[in-house]
Amino acid sequence: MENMTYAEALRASMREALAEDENVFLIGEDIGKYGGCYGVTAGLVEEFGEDRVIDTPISELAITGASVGAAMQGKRPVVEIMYADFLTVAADQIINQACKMRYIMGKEVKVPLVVRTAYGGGGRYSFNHSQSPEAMFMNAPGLTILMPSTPADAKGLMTAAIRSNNPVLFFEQKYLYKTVSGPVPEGDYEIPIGKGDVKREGQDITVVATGWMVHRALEAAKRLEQEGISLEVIDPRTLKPLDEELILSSVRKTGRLITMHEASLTGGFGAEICAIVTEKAFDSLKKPVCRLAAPDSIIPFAPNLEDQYYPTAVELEAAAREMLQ
Amino acid sequence: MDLSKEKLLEVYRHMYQTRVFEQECEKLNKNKEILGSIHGSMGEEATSVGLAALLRPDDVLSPSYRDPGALFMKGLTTMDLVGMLFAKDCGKTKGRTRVLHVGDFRKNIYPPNPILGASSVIANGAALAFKMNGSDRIVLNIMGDGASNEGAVHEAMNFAAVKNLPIIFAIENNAYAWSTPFKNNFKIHTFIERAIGYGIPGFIADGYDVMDVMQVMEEAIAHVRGGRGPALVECRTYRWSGHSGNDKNVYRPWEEIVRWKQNCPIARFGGYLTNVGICSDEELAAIRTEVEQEVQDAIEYSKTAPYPDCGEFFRDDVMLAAE
Repeated sequence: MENMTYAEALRASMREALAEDENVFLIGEDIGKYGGCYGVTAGLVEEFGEDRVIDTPISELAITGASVGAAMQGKRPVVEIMYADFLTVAADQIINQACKMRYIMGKEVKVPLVVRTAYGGGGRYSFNHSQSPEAMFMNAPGLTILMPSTPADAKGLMTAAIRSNNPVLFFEQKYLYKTVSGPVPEGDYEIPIGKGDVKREGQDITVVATGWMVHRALEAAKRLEQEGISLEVIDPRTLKPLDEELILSSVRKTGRLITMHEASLTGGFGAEICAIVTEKAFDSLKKPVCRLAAPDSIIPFAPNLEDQYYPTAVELEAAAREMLQ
Repeated sequence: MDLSKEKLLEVYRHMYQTRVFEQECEKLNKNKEILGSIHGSMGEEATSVGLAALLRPDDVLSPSYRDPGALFMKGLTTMDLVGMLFAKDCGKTKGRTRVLHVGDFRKNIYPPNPILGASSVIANGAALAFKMNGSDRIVLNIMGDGASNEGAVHEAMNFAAVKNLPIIFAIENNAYAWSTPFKNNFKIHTFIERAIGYGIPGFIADGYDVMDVMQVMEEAIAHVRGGRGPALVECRTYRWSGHSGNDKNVYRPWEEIVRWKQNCPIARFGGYLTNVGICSDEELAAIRTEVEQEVQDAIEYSKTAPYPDCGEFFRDDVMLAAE
């Protein structure tokens, strides 16, 4: 084990992939000498050259489209879309093209494409540099969606994403890049796609949280423990395909469910979790499900407003207490 | 340009095959014998076939959705497309898609795209892979004049130019984007002006003269295969039919269509072939008879052929992730 930040863990995975497979290349805006907007790819162009770490014009459609076309030729492109807010510019390529090529062309065609992107708040950047658009892509058949919360998961999932033969959308929480560090297995480390993780075991309430919110859920769980309330914190890590069984078995044990994410409430990932649980574990529920999420409004700039915007550990604690009344 | 008799007759065959295919499409669509709609290319045969005629089998074709000519030239069969009109199992994509989504991995055909412009950025990716591999394979991406106004096309052309990619962007300028005439969509007079804007060479061809299209393509291919970066080729052509089977085609004077029909690219090429003594009228007539029979056979077969098996379809792993 080596102690790494979230960003370093991602870099370690990409570095190993570049060394291991000559078909892997990185492509995006300012990812070469500049090292990417958040420095995630720093040093890689020096090590692997400009043909493997490709700087591009500011053209998200061209970058993503070229990666779809190259993946169909057996390359394994790893695209960086600087901010997840910019994904909508490339959304046609992700939703309508990357995910449909195998269907059109048949089994001989694979699209081993990774689109990685910095999402989420905490950076004081306001909207269009802070959004969490994962739910917009949940409804696209054929797309794998990953969202790690820890450095170890970031490395293991990035390795799995690059080795996957299907299009993967990889959400990296930008606040976590440098603020979170932890032990990361050295060398080859892959976490299977579709496998969630129990970040903390508990008895009373199942909390399904993603990304940054996993850390807030763990913070709340620690404090609630002192009140005798026990939260089980689950990080699905793979939003799609989802580890349903892990969540369902937890809810069957606790009988209660709270979901927590930093994206807006309506049509969010939490809604999907609640739907699955009410559909498949309704009889286990002792209380109605509860969704904690950002409001259906625009991410503000002022620090006090932004802090109000995302769900907090304190809000989760209150929701948990109420649920146990 | 030194083309064998065999090659020239192959070009003639595919132009005529395209014509008959489109004529039958119109009939079938009018009689509601087929599903979906059609996007006819009558009048554009010299452009579509000529653009693809000089590609190597290992080059990638990324056609527009109005390019059966290029698809036939690159090796798709009449049955591949006719079966698709009927959404039958005998069609190329076995009932999964309409004709405007047809690709073939082994024949190096990337699918056309009804989301206009999308195929240009994807085609760049094949070119990028070829360049990375140090191969001399090239890519031909074809679009209509209408599609060229998509943002994706601008991004694609600039990206290809900056990265020196081995790709030809060919524009079939058929004078109308659906119903909108060229002058309402463009302040430029020729796409060469666009090419200049991206810093790449631009070529222009008479899209009603397949020999001219091929001659221009020979030059463009030499440029691109030589590692000198992308090129743009504009073919001036004209669509006889409406944009699609539902288009009543009333936005232009009918005399205009008649005028272009006098210049039929197939009659013109046939006249060239016989007058310069490459072949006889009888040889061309024999090709036409063969093609007509082939199209009729494919239609008759497809009419009664089975739809794809439902159970098999939902078990088929093209529906699922690749391993």
